[in-house]
Amino acid sequence: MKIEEIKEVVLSIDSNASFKEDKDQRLWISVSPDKLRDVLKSLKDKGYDHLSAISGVDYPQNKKMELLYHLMHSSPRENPYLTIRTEISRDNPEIPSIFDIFAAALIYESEVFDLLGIKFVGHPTLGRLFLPEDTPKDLYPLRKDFKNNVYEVTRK
Amino acid sequence: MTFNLFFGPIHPALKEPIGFIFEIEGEYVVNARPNLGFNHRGIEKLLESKTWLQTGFLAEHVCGICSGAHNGCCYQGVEKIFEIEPPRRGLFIRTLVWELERIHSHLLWLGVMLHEAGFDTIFMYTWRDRELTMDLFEEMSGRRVVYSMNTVGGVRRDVTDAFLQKLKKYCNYLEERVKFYRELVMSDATTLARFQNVGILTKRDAIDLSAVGPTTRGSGVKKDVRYEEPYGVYDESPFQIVVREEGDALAKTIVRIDEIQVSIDILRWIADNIPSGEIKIKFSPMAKAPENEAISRVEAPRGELLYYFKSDGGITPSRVKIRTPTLANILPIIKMVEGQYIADIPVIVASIDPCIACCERVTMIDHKTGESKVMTMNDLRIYSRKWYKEHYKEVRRERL
Repeated sequence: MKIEEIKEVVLSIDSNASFKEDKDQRLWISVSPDKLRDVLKSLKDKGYDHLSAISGVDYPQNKKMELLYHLMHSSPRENPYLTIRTEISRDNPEIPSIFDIFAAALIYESEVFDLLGIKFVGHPTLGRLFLPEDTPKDLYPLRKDFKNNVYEVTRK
Repeated sequence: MTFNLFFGPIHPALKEPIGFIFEIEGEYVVNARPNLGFNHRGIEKLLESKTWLQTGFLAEHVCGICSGAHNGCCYQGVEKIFEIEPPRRGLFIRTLVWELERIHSHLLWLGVMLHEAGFDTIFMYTWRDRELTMDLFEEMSGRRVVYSMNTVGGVRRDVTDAFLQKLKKYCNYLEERVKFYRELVMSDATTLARFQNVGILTKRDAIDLSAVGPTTRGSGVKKDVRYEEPYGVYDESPFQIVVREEGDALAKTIVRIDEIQVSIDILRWIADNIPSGEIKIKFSPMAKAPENEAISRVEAPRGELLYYFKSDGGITPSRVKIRTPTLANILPIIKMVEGQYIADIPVIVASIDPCIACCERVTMIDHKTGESKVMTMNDLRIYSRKWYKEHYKEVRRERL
């Protein structure tokens, strides 16, 4: 798939999508969160069947959070590496789960929920993955306003 | 009626720890639930407080065995953020570290894998050969495990001609050994009984679960970052992707042994073709990065390693995301153990090279009587060997 073809596929679903190419010929696509599932589904049908990772980034000054889905094609030499990004509000971070499209998302979504507190609606086993199960509910260490108070208390 | 079999938790001194709960029915595994996080150290958060030059020194402590891959991948990403290119000699030395590390990791794994099957002689043999790799690392970088060879825009230490001669000599020695290991694994009754048709991951499942590294290549999927997006000097080197179709533990073993051979070829090519010149470009320790973001991907010994960097224009990264290959290969374990014998669990879990072979304790809980039985990993290993001695013939008949 050429970059133009990918743009066409994404634009047919989300007409407000924006694109960015970097020096390694990788393509970054911004879509709106309610169109994310459809975009990923149609890209998977076009051969993007490998989900490398889901990264979450916190932007407290803009009151938003960003999710990045890193995708690879089944014939990766001919097709660019994709990153689909979407922004959600920080006050109520919720997004539909994509575990039925990419099974690997089961574990990556749990990771993002664990460390950033983004809720994936429809995920069957969403819970703490790395942190202990008795971690306080609103404690998400990768958020920018996370204070190391756990350690400060023990130091006193 | 299913029993829950607790596999894990931990022994942090040796390898990465993990827990599993296996649901078993009689002698068969029905389902598995992974339990992660026994060694979570918050490195992603800590990286946000490091300057760009410091990141790699922390990143290489993510994993002791593939420290070179983490270190190189991290600095490769930082170079993408700053949009700088290391000089060619630097790239050659970087690739040398990656390939030497792959040899050391695969030899280590081969020993552990055969140890799980009760073949301790080869465990000693492979670890002796691995020791020579460590000596080379010591001579090159001054350290045996965490090498700190890379920096932003190149590598920190140069290699001498005497070292390259030594490297070639080691390649000649190792080539003979690898042939021996390959023949042994392909023909020995113990390895065939324990590896062949055990823990099969089908091609469809490997793709669906986004598995990475030798685990997928043993199932016939061409996934290797060196092949997908050649980085370093791989596009010129005599690199060939190794793929086997069978998908069982034996195929994964052969893939790794063949990859050692490919690494030897690349190392020889590097020793012959390394250009002279600078090894790094100047980089200020307090440099401010432009507002940028980058993805850096490297084929670590266990599979695709991914770093995502986000910079907001400061002297530290504002977000670093690390996706290690073992995390991607957790779900395939669940698929692989389904319908297998309890006695095969050590081999199947080891077959993805998870650095967790030291899971120290296994608890067996009998749900009918409420009795629980605690087994150490060693007990399970002994149990699996005994079980195989008794059931060897019927299992062979069943599998072939």
